[in-house]
Amino acid sequence: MMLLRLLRRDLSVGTYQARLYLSFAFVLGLLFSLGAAGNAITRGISPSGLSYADAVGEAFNFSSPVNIEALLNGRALSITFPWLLTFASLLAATLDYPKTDAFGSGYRVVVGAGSRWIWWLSKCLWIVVVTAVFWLLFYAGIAVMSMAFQMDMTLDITESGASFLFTNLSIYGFSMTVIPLLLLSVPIGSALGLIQLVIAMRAERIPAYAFCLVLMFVSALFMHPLLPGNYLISGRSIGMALGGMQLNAGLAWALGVGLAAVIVGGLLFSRMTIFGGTRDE
Amino acid sequence: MELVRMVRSPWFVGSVAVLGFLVIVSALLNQASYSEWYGYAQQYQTKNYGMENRVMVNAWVGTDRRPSSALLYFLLPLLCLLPGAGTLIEERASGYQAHALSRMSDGLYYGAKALACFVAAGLVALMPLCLSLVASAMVMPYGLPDLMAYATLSASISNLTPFQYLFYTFPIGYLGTWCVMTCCLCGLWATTVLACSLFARSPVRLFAGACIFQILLNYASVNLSKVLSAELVNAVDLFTLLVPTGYEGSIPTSQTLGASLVAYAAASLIIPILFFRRRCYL
Repeated sequence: MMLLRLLRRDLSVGTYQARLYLSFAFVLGLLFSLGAAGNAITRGISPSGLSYADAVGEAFNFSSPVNIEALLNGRALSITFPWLLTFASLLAATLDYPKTDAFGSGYRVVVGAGSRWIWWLSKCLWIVVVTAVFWLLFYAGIAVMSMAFQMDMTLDITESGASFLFTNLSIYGFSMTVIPLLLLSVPIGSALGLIQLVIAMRAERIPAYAFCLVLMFVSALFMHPLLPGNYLISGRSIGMALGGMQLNAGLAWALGVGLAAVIVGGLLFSRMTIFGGTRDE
Repeated sequence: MELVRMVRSPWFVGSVAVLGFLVIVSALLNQASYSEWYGYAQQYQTKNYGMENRVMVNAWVGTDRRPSSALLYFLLPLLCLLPGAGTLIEERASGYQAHALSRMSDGLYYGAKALACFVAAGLVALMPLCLSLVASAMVMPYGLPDLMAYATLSASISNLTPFQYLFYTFPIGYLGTWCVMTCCLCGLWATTVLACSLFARSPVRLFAGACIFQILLNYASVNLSKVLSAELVNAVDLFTLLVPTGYEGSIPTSQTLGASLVAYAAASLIIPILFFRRRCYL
């Protein structure tokens, strides 16, 4: 019961604090859909020939993994920075509130909750909810602009749409879908948010944010199942290419890392001394 | 005093050092390439190796298309902010601002800071570009690029690049104009970010936000331009506007350059006029 009361408070106070980033998610969705339409027009294809899935694919588009040998032989390094923008705003949305609440005015709530674990669990649940809301708004933004360009509202990637996506794998050519990307965005985003929360509570917010962004950046450069960014890149998704990142592996990663972050973070938080706006070891 | 503080800060020195290092790397790469082609041209004198276009104007960081030059222009919008754009936040946090504002007018305090920020950011851009001018003169001979031969080779600039007529007729003037343009644009960008720092609490977030804004501006303007006109890709971000060869398939044009200069100048004036008192006296 106390957990639900705390979660309700977090949702009203914390979500309000994150409103700027959440509204930015909608704008990003609009922009990525515009990007898909722009790509189509440049190649002489009408945007109405694309589908909603193509716009989602464009939002999760990142250059092929780095080939060290080719790089040493003088091939230019290609980095798709807009892909990182989504994660930069997602992580920023959940960065401030838990820390300011614990060490700011909300420290009385920690005492009033009776158990630090309950307080900690409510913050973890808040991160999962905010992440889900973020992706919901993001996909809604994509949907609005896709409808404006009269794209097909289906989850199947068209051949034209697949031609814009960077991949080093063999694409199926038919029956390509973004369902794995949609299913993995909330679990992986939440797991990243939880890692950030643990680091932010023990250290500081900026290093926590930087660590998670660097993790995403590195994982986009190198293809490996333990690097989470790979699961959220359209050209490396199992829904699009043979040998792509498996949905089950992505869910297992998110669940394992998320649970580890909740347990380790909870243990650390329950041993910290908190009083009025500062922290003592 | 503001300018001396900014220019003596480790951020200024560090930024210039990083950009200077990248200029030297580009010069070394140009030197290696020129030596190789010069060797071929000496060995097989009947063949054409395009030596008439291997001139100084093509060995400058803005036109040589080296990876280190691309990195320099990618880092420039961030590095030019470091000496001055975060000082307002630091002085507000340290309490210096409260002391300063009790002894001088708001306009004098902010004006001095904005002017110093403009000059410091401009110098961060100008010094490496001038160093590159010297380095390019040491690597390749001075001469006019051959317009006809140039059309058949990989062109480093397009017909829409601002001041392109100077490129073929008065190359040193072309490079000088671009140096001054880059210096002004970086200065105005830094003063705009200084004005926006009235709303920020942390310099790290301010700089990260500024970079994210430029990436977003690039993506949005490129794709909007594609939707509106498939033939010409216009971008209004600094990654594109600062370099004559453009960024990721988009090139700078006179219109986007002019519009950006006006927009940054307007923002750096209007934001402090509207919000300085409200943000600094509460």
